[in-house]
Amino acid sequence: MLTVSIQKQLPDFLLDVCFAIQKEIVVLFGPSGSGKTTILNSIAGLVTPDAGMIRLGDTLFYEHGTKALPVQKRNIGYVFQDYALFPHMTVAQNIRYGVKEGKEVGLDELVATVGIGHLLDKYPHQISGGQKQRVALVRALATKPDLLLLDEPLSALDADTRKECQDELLRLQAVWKIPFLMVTHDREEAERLADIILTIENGKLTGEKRGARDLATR
Amino acid sequence: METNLTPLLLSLQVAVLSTSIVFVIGIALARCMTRRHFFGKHVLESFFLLPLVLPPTVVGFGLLLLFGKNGFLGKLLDQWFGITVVFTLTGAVIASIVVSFPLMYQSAVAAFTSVDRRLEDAARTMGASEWRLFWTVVFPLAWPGLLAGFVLSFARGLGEFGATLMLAGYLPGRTDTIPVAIYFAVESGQMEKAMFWVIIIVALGMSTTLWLNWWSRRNLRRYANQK
Repeated sequence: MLTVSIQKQLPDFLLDVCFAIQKEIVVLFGPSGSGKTTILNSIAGLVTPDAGMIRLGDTLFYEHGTKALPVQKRNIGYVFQDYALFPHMTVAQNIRYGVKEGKEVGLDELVATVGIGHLLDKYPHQISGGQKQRVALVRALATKPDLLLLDEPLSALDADTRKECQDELLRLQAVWKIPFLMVTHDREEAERLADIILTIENGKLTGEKRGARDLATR
Repeated sequence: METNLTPLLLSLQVAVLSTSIVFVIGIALARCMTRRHFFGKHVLESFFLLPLVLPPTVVGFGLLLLFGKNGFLGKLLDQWFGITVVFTLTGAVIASIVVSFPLMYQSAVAAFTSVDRRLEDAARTMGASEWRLFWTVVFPLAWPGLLAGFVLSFARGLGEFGATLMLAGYLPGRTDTIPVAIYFAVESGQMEKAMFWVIIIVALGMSTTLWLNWWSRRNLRRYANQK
């Protein structure tokens, strides 16, 4: 379980949120500039909150007044908004970047599931947006993270590719069974993917509800 | 005209040594400065770039004060390692380091700033140490800019005159790099000798910039459509 309770002063408002998520897809939904990405970055360890606490299972990531756990030791996967693939490495090198030697078990399967096997020798600038998105997803999961963070992972894709990638995410979460915390400002996407939707405005949580998919499967 | 090639060899020796040192120091300082923000950073950066705007004689004067027999560093070097700086090739190397450092530093800062921070963050989330992400992500992506800095520093080191003359003087066969040799050839009316060295240094400079232009154009295209 991921528990987040943090405060951080941002230029326009105070980010002050508190939530806990299980092994499910939770969507942080809200307009641009409402503090969503800062929450992801705080969990990842790329940004330090001013106060509060972040804990994943038994591991304390951050607690005010103590030394924060470094990014490298948090074992999380992070899919960035514009994918942040290394432009000078092939798809295969990108995917293997965070994989320690001897821990490649399951990597080939993952590559096959997501259908990027034929792209391994290509460079990021040689593949399409949807393909980049899949590569970024595989790269983030390749380190076998305990938590996956996704920052607007589908915002740059056209409608069809977007839907395919949404299905991919749902499938992967069902297999991996780790918490997926995803940021989006697209209501439809939030409804379609989320077990739980957390609405955020100006740094405060203003609503929590179950997603349409979750209600439909009950 | 007898051709004594010592000035060419000395110049190359000085330029290779000083550029190698400047490359390492420039990269290390540029990386630190682009990652950290602290009080007085701008003042420190201005200080780094000072040799670029000061007359070389002023730089040379400063170095003379610092590295001379009674200078702070001069004394230390002499006592600890028995190294004399003034009127030696070491002096020429130090002068060359100081005047070419700003070029390497500026190129490296620009090169590091151009690397997308998100790529570094991505590497961190995948468990990469700062050391590993520097060598696997930052350095390869900044490489074109770093190499440009290297070449510029080399060219500057090769052509350094004012500070070199102040610190290393003109000792034929020991500290007479090409620019110094040209000056003293003209001074003593040996125009042919001066012309010979002028042609050599123009050829060296021209081929350096030509190559740099060609190379950077080729490399700028490399990740052109990376997004």
